[in-house]
Amino acid sequence: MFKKILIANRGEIAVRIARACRDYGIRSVAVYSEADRGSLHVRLADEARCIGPAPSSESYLRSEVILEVAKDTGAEAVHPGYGFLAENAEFARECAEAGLVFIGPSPEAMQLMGDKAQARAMAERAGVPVVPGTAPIERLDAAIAAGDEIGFPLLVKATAGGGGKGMRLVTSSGELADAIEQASSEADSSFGNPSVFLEKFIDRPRHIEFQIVADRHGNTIHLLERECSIQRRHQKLIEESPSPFVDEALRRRMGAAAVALATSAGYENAGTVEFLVDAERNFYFLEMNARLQVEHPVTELVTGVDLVGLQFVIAAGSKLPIVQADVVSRGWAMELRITAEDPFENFIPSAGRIDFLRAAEGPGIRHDSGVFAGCVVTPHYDPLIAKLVIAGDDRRHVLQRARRAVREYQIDGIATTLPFFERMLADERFASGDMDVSFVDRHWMSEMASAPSPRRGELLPAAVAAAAVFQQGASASTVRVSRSSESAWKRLGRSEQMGERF
Amino acid sequence: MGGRRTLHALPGRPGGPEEEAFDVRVERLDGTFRVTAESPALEADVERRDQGAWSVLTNEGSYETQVACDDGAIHVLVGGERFSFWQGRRGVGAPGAVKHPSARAEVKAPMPGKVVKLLVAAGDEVSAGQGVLLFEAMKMQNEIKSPQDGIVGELFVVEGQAVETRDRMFVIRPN
Repeated sequence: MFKKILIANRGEIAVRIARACRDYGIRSVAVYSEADRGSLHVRLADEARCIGPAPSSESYLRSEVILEVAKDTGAEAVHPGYGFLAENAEFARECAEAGLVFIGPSPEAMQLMGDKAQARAMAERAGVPVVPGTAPIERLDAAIAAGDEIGFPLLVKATAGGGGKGMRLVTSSGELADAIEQASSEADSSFGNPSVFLEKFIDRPRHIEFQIVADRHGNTIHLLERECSIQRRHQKLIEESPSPFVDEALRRRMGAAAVALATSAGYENAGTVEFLVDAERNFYFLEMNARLQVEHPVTELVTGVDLVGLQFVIAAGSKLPIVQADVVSRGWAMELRITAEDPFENFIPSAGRIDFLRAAEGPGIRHDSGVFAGCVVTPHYDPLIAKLVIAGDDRRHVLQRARRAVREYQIDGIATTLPFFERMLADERFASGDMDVSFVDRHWMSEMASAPSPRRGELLPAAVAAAAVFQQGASASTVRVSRSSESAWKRLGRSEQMGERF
Repeated sequence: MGGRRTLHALPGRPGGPEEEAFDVRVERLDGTFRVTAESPALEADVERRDQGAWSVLTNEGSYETQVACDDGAIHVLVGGERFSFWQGRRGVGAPGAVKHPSARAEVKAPMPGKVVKLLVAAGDEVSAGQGVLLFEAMKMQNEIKSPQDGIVGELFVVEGQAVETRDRMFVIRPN
């Protein structure tokens, strides 16, 4: 096993990895930007080195500086966390060249999975279902025949596309020729490339993914699924395991597909195979994430496997200590991503000083956090500040416990997603497991964020009392004005102070 | 210390018909505060520390609240519900009560970031809540919206411009 590992990340994931290092008796080296001198990951690591100014392009993304620190501190391996350099094949290669173990897949496997077309082709070769579609269209009659084979509704999509430009939803064969022509001309004017292709339209799919782990001795297993359908703009907000939608038969089929894909890609270490699943339980390969996921704790709580520890074991060249038959669900787990964003203001980021923080504690609670009272959430990085993970016997138990945990959890000074969870956990549709990836877009801003909660009448007197006392303090010179008077959820907090600081 | 004040709650939209006023009395008793009101009736103890998460006890229950102020309004977060209040006479001085604005509103950058895209031009008519520009901070893009109905008077920023907190971005004039 390694004696010293460099953690090429920050925030809650760097804290998570530093903890795993201590759990395994490994020394950890943190790196930090000038903005992160006071951060938790710096305090909880055994050593720490500054790698540059606040912008990540001048610090956390500078591979040459990070490799220099690794060499200088005598680290044997580098854990990239997620984001930053985690899926940068070039960085993995540079680590190898510098004689360091990169804790993750090989650069080749990473590159393969990073290229959507290659990953799709690999999935097809491995017999994993992909969203049915065509190559770029060359002849209209062939396209219409292909469209009939895929079935309707389907999408016409621009090969060079993005952002809905050059895209058409087509509901019947008769509309297809016109739609192809329109999409093609729109694609030509938007991207300078008229090429379009056809893809099956999957209505309101769920996002369900499988955690896999693989060693270099040919052993690949999966650690069950995670349902991540509660998301906004492809940012997940709630993840859980198991999925309330997946039965044993579907789990077996999807798990086998995930393992087949990882095996045929020669994948090593931890990774995640993401699928879209439609209402008829058809599943389609979406992509493979060649790294540790944000939401890995739900898998850890449900399976009892320490995923980061397992990553160390695999990277050190050992065999997987468990086989597929050892992997059983021990109940249910759900992760709530606490981000510095205001759910009532369309999730606008909220930077500032955290004046007060009391995390949820007690039975069934795990709190993976990168913040503490008195620390400043800066606008430079991802707004994820903590993950509240709840475990219980079954989904009902977890929902009830999650409601309790969210009520306990208090953060003051910045806006967070906690009120979003309070309302989601009270929502009957969510509680019944009725969800898909469009849930938040369809229900949150238009309905759930603006509707007064059933408890409003009960809560109003408490709110009036607090506001009255607040005002009393603010207007009487003998009473110190609370810090919270300076903070404003909507207005993103105390950025001037931060300006002086950085 | 203590005395009577009137607080207005904004249960629905600012300036909406559901507006409620509370004539509250605040007394200080050994570090805690006693808040009373007659109509609607209210009796509460507020344990106020210097920072964050004040405990409020009423006959109905025990609540934890977070309080912040913003442009003269007091916002209270309790039980996942957000309430806004202001002091004064009914409908007067209410922040955000701008259905028929008579003043120009100047919108400043909420935090350091970059103007990605202008969604309107100077002279355009906009309605309250309409996106005026696309702003990027913390690696995310969000629309900065017009606070009121009106005309875009001046745009102080151009696409691609980096801005600091409180840099002026644009002005909405009444139409």
